Amino acid sequence: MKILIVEDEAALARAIQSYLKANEILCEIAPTVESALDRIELHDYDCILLDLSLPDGNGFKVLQRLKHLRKSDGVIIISAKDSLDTRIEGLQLGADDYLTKPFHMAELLVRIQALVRRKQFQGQNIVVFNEIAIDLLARTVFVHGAAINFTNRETELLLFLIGNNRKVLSKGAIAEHLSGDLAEMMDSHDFVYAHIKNIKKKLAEAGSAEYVKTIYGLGYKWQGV
Amino acid sequence: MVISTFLLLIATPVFYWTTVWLAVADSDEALQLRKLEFIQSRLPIFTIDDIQIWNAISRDIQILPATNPMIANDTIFQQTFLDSLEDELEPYRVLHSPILVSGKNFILSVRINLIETEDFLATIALLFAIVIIILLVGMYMINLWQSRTIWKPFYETLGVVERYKIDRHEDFKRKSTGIEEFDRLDQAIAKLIHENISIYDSQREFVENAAHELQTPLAVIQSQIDNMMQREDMTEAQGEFLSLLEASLSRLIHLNKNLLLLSKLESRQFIATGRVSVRKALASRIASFAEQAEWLGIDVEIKQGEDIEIEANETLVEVAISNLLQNSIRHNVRNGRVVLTIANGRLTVANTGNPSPLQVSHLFQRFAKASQSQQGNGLGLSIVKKIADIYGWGIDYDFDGGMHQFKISF
Repeated sequence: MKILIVEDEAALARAIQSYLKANEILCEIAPTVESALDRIELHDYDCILLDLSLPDGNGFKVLQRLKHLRKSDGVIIISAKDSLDTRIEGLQLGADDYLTKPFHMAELLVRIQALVRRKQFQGQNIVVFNEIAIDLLARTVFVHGAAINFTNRETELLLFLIGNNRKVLSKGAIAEHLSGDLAEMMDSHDFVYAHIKNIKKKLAEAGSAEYVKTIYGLGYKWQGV
Repeated sequence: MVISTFLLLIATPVFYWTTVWLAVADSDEALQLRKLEFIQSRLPIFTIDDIQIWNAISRDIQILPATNPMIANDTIFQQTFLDSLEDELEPYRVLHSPILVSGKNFILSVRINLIETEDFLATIALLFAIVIIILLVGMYMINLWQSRTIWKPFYETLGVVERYKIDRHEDFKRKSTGIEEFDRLDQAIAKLIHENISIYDSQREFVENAAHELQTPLAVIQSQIDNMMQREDMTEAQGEFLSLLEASLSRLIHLNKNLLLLSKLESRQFIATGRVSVRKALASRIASFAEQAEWLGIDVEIKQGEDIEIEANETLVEVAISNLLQNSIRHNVRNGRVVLTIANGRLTVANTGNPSPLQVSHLFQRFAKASQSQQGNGLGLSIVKKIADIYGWGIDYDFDGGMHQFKISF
């Protein structure tokens, strides 16, 4: 998979690059509108991460050019601005998603995956990981072809874990993914722990391999082959 | 007004007594005249034998036998006599003067009835009192009229200043009153307010810019921590440090987001409004809220009355509700209770918690933390208050039946 990161903050761009590299996602970095425009003319990307405030102009120009070139690259705006107006303007100009800075890398990764799924597989709605299959539309989890009783929240968490295959996820990142702003106040350790415990139990009962590892002091990790 | 009333009240008795004094002096003069007239025209032809006849005929001038010791000079005094006609005592002014009739000492007694003078005086005093009352009422009316008309522009200005709120972003504008002093006052207030607005705006912009600029470095830190966690060679102890770092970072990020939101609320950047159903807004938040509550063993009860439809920005309504819900959990106790009520145009969030009422005075201020709770940044309620202010909703706190109650009256 090939991604273009349009971001002038070099440290952030490199961090994204290094996080995604492990998931076989190839990242190119464009720190200016100018360089981004050059790149989108020459290459096709599965996804473009687009910052709006760039040294030589507004990131919206990249969106307009993409539209003009009739390209269908997926675009996720990553911006420090989170006003509703910018959000709506971005989505109207053809962006597919909007992520407000700061964000967790894990969150970014699942957003990219969801976008690519929608774009490339014509809305293919099944996520498969070895013996586990998740029907996104019906929100159903199958192990060895048999449906297991997962709550919505557990399905959401399973998708998050699988999406971040072989990544260590902090409890904070998981809690935030699950409950947004409410995560802030929660004793997220108990909350996340309880959910993880349920998932492990249900998967084990259905005869799935033990993928979820506890990383002491940090969080959890989906350890798949 | 007070002084003139005072003066008039003092003047009335003074005027009365002066007039009485003048009247008495006048009577005394008349007595002297009558005495002189008697002495000049009657006395030379008077004999002792005439006294008895004279006394029988004359009423007000009498010849009295000499007293012992004999009075040397004229004496004037006041005395009451019984009036045989009206059968009542009446005041008289009496003059006693020593005279000689046929070489023998006698006293000439001349008297004048004062009763007519007193009636006259009473009438004058009454008239005077009426004049005073009319004058006082008139002055009062004039004063009232003056303050209504002449001071009208002043009171209008005062009203505008009293109602003025700096975060409403209204400029102070008054049309000319035609009175120089008031125009100057209006100009001075307009200048003062204008300067305050610009200071307020630059403060707000500063907070907004600062919070905004912080987003990028925070994003960098977050991304580095996320990457660092992936290192295979990380020990458990290092991992714990990293976790602490991340937890603090998370608090910092939320604090910063709330600051941004507050400064945006203050600059009224949420213009887009639509019909919002309070029930729907609550429903959108209730799912994850109920789940959180369940983890803490908190019982959530929802009482749905008639739904409330309001004209507002949907995101803001959800933020306000969400903040109240968060507080109801955050400041709750294990196995506590939360009761949510939508009824009579009002949303009530009630929760168990600390068994004593909260200090209302600081409740809605920024960074005012009611409890020792480590969680929360003290901005939640001030955001709710700000949103309520924008749309003119009432927000109240109550402690009733052992429950902390926050009410938004839409």
